[in-house]
Amino acid sequence: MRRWTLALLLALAACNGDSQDGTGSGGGIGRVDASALVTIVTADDAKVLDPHCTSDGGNSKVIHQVFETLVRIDPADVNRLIPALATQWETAPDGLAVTFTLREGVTFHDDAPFDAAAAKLSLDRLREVGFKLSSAPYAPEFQDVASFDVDGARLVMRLRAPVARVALRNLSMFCSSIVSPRVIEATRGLDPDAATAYVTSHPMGTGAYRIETFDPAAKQATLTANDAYWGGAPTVRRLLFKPVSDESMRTEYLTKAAGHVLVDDVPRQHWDAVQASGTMQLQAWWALNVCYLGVNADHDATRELDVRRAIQLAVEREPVVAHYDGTARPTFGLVAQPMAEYDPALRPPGWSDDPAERRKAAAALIEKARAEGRVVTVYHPQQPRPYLPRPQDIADTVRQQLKAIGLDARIQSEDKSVLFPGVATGKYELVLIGWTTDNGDPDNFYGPLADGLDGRPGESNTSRVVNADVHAKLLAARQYDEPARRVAAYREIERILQTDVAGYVPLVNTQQAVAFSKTIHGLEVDATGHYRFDRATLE
Amino acid sequence: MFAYVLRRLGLSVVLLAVVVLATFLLHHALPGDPAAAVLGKQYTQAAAFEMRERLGLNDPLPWQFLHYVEAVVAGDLGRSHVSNQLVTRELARVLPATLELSVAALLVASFVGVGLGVFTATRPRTWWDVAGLTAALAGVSLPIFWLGFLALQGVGEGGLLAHATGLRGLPLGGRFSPAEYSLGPWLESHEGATGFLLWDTLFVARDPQVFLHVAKHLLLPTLVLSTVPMSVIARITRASVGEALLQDYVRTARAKGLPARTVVLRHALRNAAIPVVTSIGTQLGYLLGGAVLTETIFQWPGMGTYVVQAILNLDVKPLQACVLVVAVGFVFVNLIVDVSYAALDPRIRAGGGGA
Repeated sequence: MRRWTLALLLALAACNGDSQDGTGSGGGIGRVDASALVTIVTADDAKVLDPHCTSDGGNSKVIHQVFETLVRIDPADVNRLIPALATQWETAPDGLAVTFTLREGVTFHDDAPFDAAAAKLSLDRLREVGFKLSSAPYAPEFQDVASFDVDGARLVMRLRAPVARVALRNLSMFCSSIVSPRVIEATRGLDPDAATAYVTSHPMGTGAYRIETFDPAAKQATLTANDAYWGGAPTVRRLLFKPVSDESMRTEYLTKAAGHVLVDDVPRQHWDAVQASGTMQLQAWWALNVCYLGVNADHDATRELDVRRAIQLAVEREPVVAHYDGTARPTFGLVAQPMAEYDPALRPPGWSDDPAERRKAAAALIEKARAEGRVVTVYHPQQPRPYLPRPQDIADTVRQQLKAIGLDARIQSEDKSVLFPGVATGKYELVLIGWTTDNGDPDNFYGPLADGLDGRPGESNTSRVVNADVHAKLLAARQYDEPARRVAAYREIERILQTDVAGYVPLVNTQQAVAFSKTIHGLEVDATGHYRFDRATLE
Repeated sequence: MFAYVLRRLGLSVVLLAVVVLATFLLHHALPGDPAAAVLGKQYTQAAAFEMRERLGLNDPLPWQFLHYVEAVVAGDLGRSHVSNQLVTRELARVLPATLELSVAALLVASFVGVGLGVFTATRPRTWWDVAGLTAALAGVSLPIFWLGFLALQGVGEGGLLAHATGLRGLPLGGRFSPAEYSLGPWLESHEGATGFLLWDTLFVARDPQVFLHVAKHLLLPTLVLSTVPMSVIARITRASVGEALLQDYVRTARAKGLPARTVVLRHALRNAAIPVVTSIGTQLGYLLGGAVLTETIFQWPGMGTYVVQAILNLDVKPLQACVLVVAVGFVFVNLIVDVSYAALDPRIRAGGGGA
């Protein structure tokens, strides 16, 4: 019987090889032209294609191909915005309005025309103006926007404060995608969950690709080229999203997959193999992220400034960096290191270049606060994060360093469904966590991580305090558009935070990488890790 | 016979009621706050309260249960909080995938298992017997993930066999390859499509090439999934046929001069069928609920994969729905098995059973 099984397997395997040359099949099931198809292997699958209702990375990868925003981040320079659905924009002299000239002749995938009214509808919906959403993760980012108004063929964004720079940056995020007005109108009257489900099953954008099939339960998304795309019909005719959550199975695609492939989130241990391979190439860049130790200033264990300053001095970056297999570098500011606002010269108060001296100074601060032997717990997420590949190991490294200055340090892992609410309610004295910006603006670091509303800390502010001086300076800094002034303002804010609050210890900035077949040319990858195929060609 | 079926049916209804209560309580037994899981980074106490309100978690427990029963009876299994889609809609997509795989695996397991059982039972205390029993033991003991790994590395695309022979090898996962056939849009647009791909490609689309493509995708997961039930069925068949072969009626049949094949298949196997049918029925139930590992290894877009995702996301509604579907499947299969006893054994049909 074994012989029969083997013979059957061989026959089927051989037959598989033959069918490669087969031409189209009847009965309505189309044969796919593999020569114009790119398979995109991602870690996370997409489940929701309503750009206004999700902040999930897996969703955003598909959303990016289907929908477009008014402006987007220049892939060559993260500090610059370039036109997308808006061809140009002008900020009023008082800084309270931005007028957009919109691209003409653009249509949505359902043939609805793109105009100022369509843009307004989407941007209102994302802010929950006239709509209730199942989840509106980005609505708070737009609290400085008073309204979007249609002015003939142009769109005007009116602001409550002169914060045009940040508001424009927010318009580059995928949540600001413009959805077909026909789809949005059809969701009126539906309950919020049903509305999200409706947009997900009718994902009509203006992007270079349209959805052919999307089956979240089966983890399948197939996209076909939009021939009516304003930028010209894409040469890559079909994108196939293949989510493979298991890291080792995902990396199998680096060597085994046939055809044109892009593999997202390639772990460091495979980089060399990719670079040495004859078929794949690697694109790695420093991500716009930071991994840090949050220190709660409103918790009994870390309430004294001396204790927090001691922790600032005690945690060494190098042993932490060692856990990243060469994909991380030490960082000393909350803002991501590739950004101009990062101050490479800044060090916390009491810093010495000699680690032994630093430890001594930290131990002295602990002694001064009479905190020797105090129990402190470093909480960390159970699941790896992009900026935290081995949470437990890294937490343990931090623990050992805190132990060395006289604290009785422990570690505790929490599921992310427990950890995030715990941070929001100030439950943890120390938490190992990180942040990746969605819009490439320094305000997107300091706003959520070090500020709050009405004196109450924001939910991601791990220090659980709002420094009045920092708050005022952040409000002012949002209004600075001129690079030098902006850089100086945020560097000053960082200095005050490290000196007066000591509510976090920045640890590392990490690299991110995609690998793709050498047959793919002209692929565009920006600093936030989003890729575009509309101008790519295949060999 | 009628009274027997009715009694079994009544028992099934009671069982289903218990299952509904159990799935409801599941919601409250799970660790973690579903509201927190939905909100993730957007968690605030106010938002969590509002979310619990929307999910109905702030109502008193009996009230929640009544709502739940009402909805289940009306066929409303709620929405996934992750995808926002109706769970019934998602189940309609994943259930055919799991059923197709389970039934295929059960067919393989039954034919090979019964065959192996009969083969060894008729050769007791020979090397064949020892080899068969060892194979069955190995089938039960080998972990599925290991078997799946071996299968993929052996005959999968880019695997050992492919390297050795230059052939392409069998597909690594999925029900079909969207890079080769645009079956997805066809399934969505074609009214007669059932979601059972073997059926759809052969009888609806009448496309043998695609049928073969789909069958190739089904082959490895089916073989891997069938190992455990195959071994169980083989061992039970071996034992019960072996016992039947020692009975007087078998000796009589042999004495009558009936050919060995008739004696084994018509007399021994028929009389040994009840435990075998029971085990086949139970195995189908296990397959429906237990295909999780196989589905994960072969990226099979079925209920196993769906359940794993639901657990990871603390997505309670799909989880409840899957438990309900598996339990209903189990109850239904058991009902069929019970009824089939009656067909197999006239004593049960007569309502006695204690002869």
